[in-house]
Amino acid sequence: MKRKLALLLIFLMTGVLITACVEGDKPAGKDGSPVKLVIAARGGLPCGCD
Amino acid sequence: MDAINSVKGAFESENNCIIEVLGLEASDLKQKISLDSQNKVGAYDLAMADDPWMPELYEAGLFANLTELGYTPDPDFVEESLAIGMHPYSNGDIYTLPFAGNVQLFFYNQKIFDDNNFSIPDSWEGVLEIAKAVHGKDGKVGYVIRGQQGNPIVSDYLPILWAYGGNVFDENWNVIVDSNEAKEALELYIELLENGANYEKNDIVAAVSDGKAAMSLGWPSWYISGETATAAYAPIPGKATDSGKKYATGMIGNWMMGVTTNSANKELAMKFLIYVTSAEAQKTAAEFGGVPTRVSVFTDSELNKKYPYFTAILEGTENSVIRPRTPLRTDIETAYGAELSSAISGTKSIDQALADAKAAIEAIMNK
Repeated sequence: MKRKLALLLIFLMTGVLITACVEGDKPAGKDGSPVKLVIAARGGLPCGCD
Repeated sequence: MDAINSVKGAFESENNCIIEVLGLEASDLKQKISLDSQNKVGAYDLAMADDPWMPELYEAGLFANLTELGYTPDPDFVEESLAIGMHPYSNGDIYTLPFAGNVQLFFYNQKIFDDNNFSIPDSWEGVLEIAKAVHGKDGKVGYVIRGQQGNPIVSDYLPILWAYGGNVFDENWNVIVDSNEAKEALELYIELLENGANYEKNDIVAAVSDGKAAMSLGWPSWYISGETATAAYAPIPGKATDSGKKYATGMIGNWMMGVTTNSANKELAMKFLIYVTSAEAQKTAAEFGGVPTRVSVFTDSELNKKYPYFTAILEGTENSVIRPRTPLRTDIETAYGAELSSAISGTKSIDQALADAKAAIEAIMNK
């Protein structure tokens, strides 16, 4: 009985972990977490100094 | 970069997002965004790019098609700036939006002009007359050219070539750098040198600012910072002679921004792009050194009191010329610049240098 409970616990925990990982890959913002946008920008003033 | 940081807060709050701005030196920026474009999911959602890079970056598919994402052109952008964001140039779909305005201007020392009662010349014949009147008097230099090989001499000479009605290519991509107009323009350029000097950028700025030299061409950021300018400025003369036809002559040099094709957040990225290039954002960014690309911001009366050069930049941009729209531009500039340099140093005649430039550019285009 204890073995069955342990297996069930492991099964449930694995499910929780998998769900957590999938949630982490969701488009940000849908679960309330902020989306991160990254901008590759010219440092300083974008002047035509060439 | 400061301009983006100055306006991103409101967007972050309203859209539950974090904007991370990575500031990179220009050549590093180009290399990094090009390498990242090879990844399935990019590290960058948006990227800035200098306008001469655009043909190469568009052909590489680096930027997402904003028209397909639902963007419609905003007529408040200066037409010449918005055209750079289109692929093909000026009539294709929109891929990038003009983030920062920039156009070459004519700079002059106000005191030298005042002391001699000179008016701002509207032709290159007039520029030469002033150069002759100033040069050698009290140790002063008339006109300063930027005659170093490669980009410097090409950027410095092209506005004069355009004022004479010449160009690098005709509308069918035939190389016309050896036209009669080009020969006359190069003759004038050499006469300006004979009544002036050939300096590198920092020495040009120092000479005109300090009153050692009377005139030069340049980019606004060389002479203008915030609310102050170290020299007087005007749009580049568009005529060869006082009675000649007026052409567009200001070399445009906008910085563009687009959504990367491999962004995982294209819609939100486009929303930010529209926000960061909005009139409201550009007005805020102006306080941090940003130069606008919208007519309504250039002509804003309050901003004009603080930044009177906005008027000259708008006028220059509306009469600007784009550098050749080919990914081979850098190679062309190198070959063309070497020949122009040979002509001004006297190593080659004008005819020979321009004939050799034509052959070299044709070879590059036929590779």
